[in-house]
Amino acid sequence: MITRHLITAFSVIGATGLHAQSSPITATAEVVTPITVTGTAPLDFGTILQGVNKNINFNNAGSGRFSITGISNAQLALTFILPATLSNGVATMPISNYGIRVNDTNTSAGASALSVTSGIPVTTNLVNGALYVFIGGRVTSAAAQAYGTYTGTITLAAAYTGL
Amino acid sequence: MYSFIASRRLLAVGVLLFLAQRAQGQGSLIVRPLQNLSFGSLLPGVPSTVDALNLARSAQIEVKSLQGATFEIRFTLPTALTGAGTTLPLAFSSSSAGVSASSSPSALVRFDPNYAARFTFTSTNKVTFFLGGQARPTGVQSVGAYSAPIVVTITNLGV
Repeated sequence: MITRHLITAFSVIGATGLHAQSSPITATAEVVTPITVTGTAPLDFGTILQGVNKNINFNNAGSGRFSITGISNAQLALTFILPATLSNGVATMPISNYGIRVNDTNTSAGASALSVTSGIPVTTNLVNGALYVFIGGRVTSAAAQAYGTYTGTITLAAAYTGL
Repeated sequence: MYSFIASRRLLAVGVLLFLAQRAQGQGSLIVRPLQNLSFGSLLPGVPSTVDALNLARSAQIEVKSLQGATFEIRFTLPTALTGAGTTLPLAFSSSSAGVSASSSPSALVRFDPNYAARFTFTSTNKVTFFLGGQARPTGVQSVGAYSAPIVVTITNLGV
């Protein structure tokens, strides 16, 4: 009888002996500078003669230019959408041979070549929090190329891919 | 007479067990947070995963008790960090948590921190829990510092 009482008492004590402790910890993160892309100069071929092709190199005054800012040392994916033709109403003129270079400073001297395929991301680094892009190309003018102003749109999208 | 002596022995045993249970249940379970879960610098639109074995960034909690003791651990996990006037989504996978007898392990016994888990001290009286997770900033996530509390509840289930 005594034994039963002892076992009963111990069982109850055992149940009330359950003891919970709560301990707080913290999850933290810091979101850093978003990326910005700015078109700073158009790729401008100037005046073109019928039947005469024209090149603009990446370091010419007429080269197209973008500037990119973000966090230093971040890795970026750059996606260029490069038109195959310029348009003037229904008339078109081929554009090709894009030459694209990037530099950490805003000068084409010493810029590095970037191997680009339109629509395919290419990775590079944002070394000092800024990257400058220089774009050259070639237009092919037909002998009967219609007079007028031809335009096309070059799009550059940049996204962080890592730190 | 025999019966009486036997009862006295049982009484003695009962008192010792009672004292042991009190000591184990109330005083000897020690929970010590060692480190917060830190995702560090995040880029807008780029998810960042901290593995439980990332000793520099994972949350770490040390639990001590008597050898043979069984206890339950339960994480109350936030679904998002808050800061910069907005939220930053978090996710915890089925392998985001782990436990080891070592405080600097090369491998963990993994478990899902979304559910309570029970453990028994067998050959040790101290273990360390590790918690990782994934932060998922949006592409337009506001710049700034974010944080959220994680509550770890340890329940001693006895020996």
